[in-house]
Amino acid sequence: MSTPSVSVNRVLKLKSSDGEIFEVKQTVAVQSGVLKQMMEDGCTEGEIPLNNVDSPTLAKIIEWCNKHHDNDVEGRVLSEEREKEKEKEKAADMKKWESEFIDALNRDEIYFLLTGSNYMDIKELLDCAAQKVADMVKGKTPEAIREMFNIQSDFTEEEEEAIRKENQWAFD
Amino acid sequence: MEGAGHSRKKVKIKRDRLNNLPNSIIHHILSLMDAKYVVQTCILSKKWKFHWAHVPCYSFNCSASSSDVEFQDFVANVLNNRQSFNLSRPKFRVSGITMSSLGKIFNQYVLSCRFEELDIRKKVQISDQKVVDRLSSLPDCIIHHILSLTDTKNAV
Repeated sequence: MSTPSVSVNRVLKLKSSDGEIFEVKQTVAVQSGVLKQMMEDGCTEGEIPLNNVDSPTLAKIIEWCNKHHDNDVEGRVLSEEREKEKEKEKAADMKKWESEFIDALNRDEIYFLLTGSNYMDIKELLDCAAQKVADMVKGKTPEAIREMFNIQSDFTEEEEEAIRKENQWAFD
Repeated sequence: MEGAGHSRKKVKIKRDRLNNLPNSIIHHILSLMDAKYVVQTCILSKKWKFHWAHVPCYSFNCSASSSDVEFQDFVANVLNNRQSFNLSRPKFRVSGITMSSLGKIFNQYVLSCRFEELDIRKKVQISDQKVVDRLSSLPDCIIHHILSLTDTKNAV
């Protein structure tokens, strides 16, 4: 299934912004749009600097990619029916793993995971982290959201009143 | 803000991180929320005043409004007030909508091509002749999308 430039046993050396080297199998690294493109272009020799991703974040990102890779290659030779059943089970397990993975992170870690997965173009991880933040914000009043993210309102009272009036339709 | 002590400032910068995300990620996060809450973020701060208007995908939930009329008004307001200079046309997800609301929304907004993709979380039953008339003047891509959500026997 793999393209000629991606081999099962070859590894990429990823260098985090703080200089730590992480080895990742090429078959795992294809989950990153940026690394996939580099592999296709044949420019993955030596260390690949990821200047926007620090080592704790890169470790998390690789943990995510390894888990999703393992899940993909596990048990492929089952009967069709059994396979469907197994697929369902696996999807549910993965959902559970993903939510535990994300829930264990603090806000700073989520921030770096968002920017890191955005930078490396790992869509599933970006979606998962973005969903976590959306769930945190969902249903909260503006005051509660400000408090949560320590957003200082830089509106004067009059300005805030004017915006509320202007957008009254959204606050009914 | 001037008066804030050094250590306090440091803490603030640290805790502000999510607020300092690149706009594209903020818009991505907002696109995962119900449109009502998305618009309400306009009140957070000056930086947030217009984030809601740049979201690539809006989710409208009819049950978040107290009546169909209110819901239609809300959708109309979002569409009329979002930034028109944003060239990429937004996608919309609509759920819990009644047929008459859907018809009105089609009539007013879809026809002006402001929907690029409409995802209706409800099987659409096209039996009302008026609705059929409205639908038939829609762009092909939207008709196909709606038909793909419709029971085949009604789609013929």
